Amino acid sequence: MIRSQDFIDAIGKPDPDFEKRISRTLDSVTASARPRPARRMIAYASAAAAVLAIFIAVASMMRSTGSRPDILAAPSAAMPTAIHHTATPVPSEQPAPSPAQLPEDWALFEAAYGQEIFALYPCAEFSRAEAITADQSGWYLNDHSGELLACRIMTGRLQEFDTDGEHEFVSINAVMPPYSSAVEDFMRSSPKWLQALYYNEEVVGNGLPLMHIIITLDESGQPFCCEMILGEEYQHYISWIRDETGEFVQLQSYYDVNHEYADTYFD
Amino acid sequence: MTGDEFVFRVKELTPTLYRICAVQLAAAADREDAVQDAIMRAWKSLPRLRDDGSFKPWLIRILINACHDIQKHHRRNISTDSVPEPPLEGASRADELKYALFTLEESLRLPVLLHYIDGYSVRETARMLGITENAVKLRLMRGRKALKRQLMEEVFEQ
Repeated sequence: MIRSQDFIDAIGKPDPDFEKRISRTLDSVTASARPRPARRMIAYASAAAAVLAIFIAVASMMRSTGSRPDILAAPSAAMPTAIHHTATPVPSEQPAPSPAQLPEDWALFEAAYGQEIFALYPCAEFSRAEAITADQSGWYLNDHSGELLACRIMTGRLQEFDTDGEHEFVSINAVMPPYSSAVEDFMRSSPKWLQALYYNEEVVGNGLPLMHIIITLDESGQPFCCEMILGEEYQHYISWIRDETGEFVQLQSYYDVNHEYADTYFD
Repeated sequence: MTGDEFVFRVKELTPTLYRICAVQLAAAADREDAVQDAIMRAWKSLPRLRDDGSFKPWLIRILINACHDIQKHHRRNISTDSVPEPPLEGASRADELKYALFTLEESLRLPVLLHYIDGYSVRETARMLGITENAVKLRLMRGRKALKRQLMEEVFEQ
């Protein structure tokens, strides 16, 4: 049995040059002044005072000329009126290659998951794949450096896949659009065990829209773990794991899912 | 976090930082550049760190990114420095272990290092790598298998 300590010994201790570089870097960065909150507050206050002074000056000038600044005017067309938070990941803006450029395995993959999302076909590209993201218009496969390997325009419902690099262990992250009809359609064509997890008090009964399903496959390609995230603000997280009898049992259930969880997915 | 605390916490993490660099970058000079870059980035972004308790995974995440940047640079420049030397016949066990770890697929190497070798929990490892806990568990299983195949021996106690 090779133990952790064997690897620690094998990797060895930090060499003196490495430690010296850390010390020198720390000396240099801490010697330079970091913007401190107090200082920033003073800077903001000064800036605000300057803006106010300009505003007062302009207003008094306008008053003296008989007009006044219309600070309640409607925003101009160029001004953003609202910033929407959306859970749907924005796909890569790279141009989509034509379907003819897709590897043959990908065509199989696409054909396969429309009916049976749990069967993923061997694909050479998977070893290079870091993530597949998609929106309603299609899916995009990027490698570790962010380079686009393949993509496909489609009108699918499954929207994000996460792979650990080999096809036999794949976490499927299905981002559901927050439209209940799409979720219902999806659920109707899903296996019974997934329907059983979804159609219960805790999931469908709590009224929050289903945003993600993450299904993790074991070595034989069978799902052994299922996670669901509910609510447009990721308010509720539930996970199940398959026990020895083959039944899914609840593993975790908690509210107020940290936003970091979402950030992790959509970075 | 004060400057002194920052220095203390970085120094405290030195062995982990070194191991991360050591399994990612073959050349000593690259490791030093990566750690320097990571410390500078961390210092610059420190005001944005909301929770001091997250410092450790946060710094490790920054270091992993710094290592990736150097790897990308090597890929563009086809540098031989980025490739570790395979152990010669009769090499020590330590060299074999190091090589086995280094040549493990990267998506498996970091979870194995952080969880099994540096002792971080699955949750912490997931946060550092920006992946789900389930993905970490899967990668750990595959990493163990890959190491076992290469070293012809069981690795890590369960």
